[in-house]
Amino acid sequence: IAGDLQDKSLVSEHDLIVDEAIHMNIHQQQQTLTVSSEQQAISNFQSVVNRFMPELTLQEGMLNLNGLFELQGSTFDGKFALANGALKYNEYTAKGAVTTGHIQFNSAGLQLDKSTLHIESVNAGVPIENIEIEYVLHNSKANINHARGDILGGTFNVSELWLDKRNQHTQVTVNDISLAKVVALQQQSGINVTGSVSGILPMSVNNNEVHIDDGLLKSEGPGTLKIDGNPAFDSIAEQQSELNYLRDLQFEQLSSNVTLNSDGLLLLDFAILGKNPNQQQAVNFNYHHEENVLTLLRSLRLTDSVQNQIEHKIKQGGVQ
Amino acid sequence: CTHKVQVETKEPITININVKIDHEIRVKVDKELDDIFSDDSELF
Amino acid sequence: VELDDAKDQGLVGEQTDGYLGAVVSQPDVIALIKEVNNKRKAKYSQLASKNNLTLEQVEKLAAKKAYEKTASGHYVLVNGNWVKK
Repeated sequence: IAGDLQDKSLVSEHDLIVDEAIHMNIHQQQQTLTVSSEQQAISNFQSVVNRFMPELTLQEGMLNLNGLFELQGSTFDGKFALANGALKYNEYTAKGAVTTGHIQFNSAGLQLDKSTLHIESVNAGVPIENIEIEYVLHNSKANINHARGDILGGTFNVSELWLDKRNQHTQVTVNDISLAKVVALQQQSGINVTGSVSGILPMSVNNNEVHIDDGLLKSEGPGTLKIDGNPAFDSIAEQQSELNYLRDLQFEQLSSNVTLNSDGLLLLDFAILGKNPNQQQAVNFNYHHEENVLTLLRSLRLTDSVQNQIEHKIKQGGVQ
Repeated sequence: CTHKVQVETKEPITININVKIDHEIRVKVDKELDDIFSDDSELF
Repeated sequence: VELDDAKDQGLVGEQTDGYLGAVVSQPDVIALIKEVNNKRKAKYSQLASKNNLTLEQVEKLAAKKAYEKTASGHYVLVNGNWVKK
């Protein structure tokens, strides 16, 4: 510490390691500390994150943080920048996270002006890409003003959402979701669908549980359904012969009510107006689908990893 | 006015299908397949 | 010939339909495969009826399991040709 007694201004320089991980350079000039923490591996900040969001794991990425800390009133005002962050939130992994922002700390807590978080992709079992989240910190409470991303061949938008586990409603809208990609999640052979749907999914959060009620999806334009070589369908079509009309269906209108319970149970009620072109037969097809979407996503994530292991092993094994 | 005879598709029929995907079954079958394909099984 | 030896010697391998296939077709290998596949089929149909699935659905899941569990160095059928894992 280079103390200069004459002009009684105490100037000091410290290299600190906080929580045995966060490297910081601090330059003190009387009551003001200039803090700078350059190119820090964000994993070093895990101890900080554990205090308010333990389900979030910081895996990779570089963070810059610099600003001024006033000893009197212990306030901080600075800037931060995160580059190519990789994070894991519960079982969902995200990579390519980038954000910058102007952050302050005062008696009321952390304050952050509106900033945008870009995330290249999230693997939830279903890839979600090009995510943009506009977020704000107000008295240490995180608020998402708006979020958007690409999913299942289309896009989604989420209106305002508080991240502090309060009860709230928000609105998820989806556009041009490819029916083919939705059906592909079922990994059922022999079922080919074309067409896409858009719609509004009113989402509510009640004591930290998320559910969707009275969601509605509608087809954008015409589409087709072709079923050929699906063992499960073949066996039921044997008992009910009119099901065979579904082997080749052209539909003008398709809509579905959507309900998602907080335990993950998804209920879809499709109403499809179409016709079988070969037999010139008009068909009203009502398809009710019930499935737990959380277990579906988990099994997709598992099979992804198993699939990769198999391919990975085979690549090592000799099929180069 | 001319009566245009349109080839009407036959009276529309209604088809209802209910599907309930039970992932528990897949987990159960998966466990049983684990035994079939375990090291000491004489089938694998 | 015993199943484990047949696998170690690269005489048989796992196919994409959940059944055993001949990498080297000699009479004793063919006999072994027939015996093992009949037992597997019986097991698969039992599993299918117990969980109201079709035989093909169980066979597909069995194939995936067989691939996962195949030891490295043993054969698996990939796009129609035998490949050592």
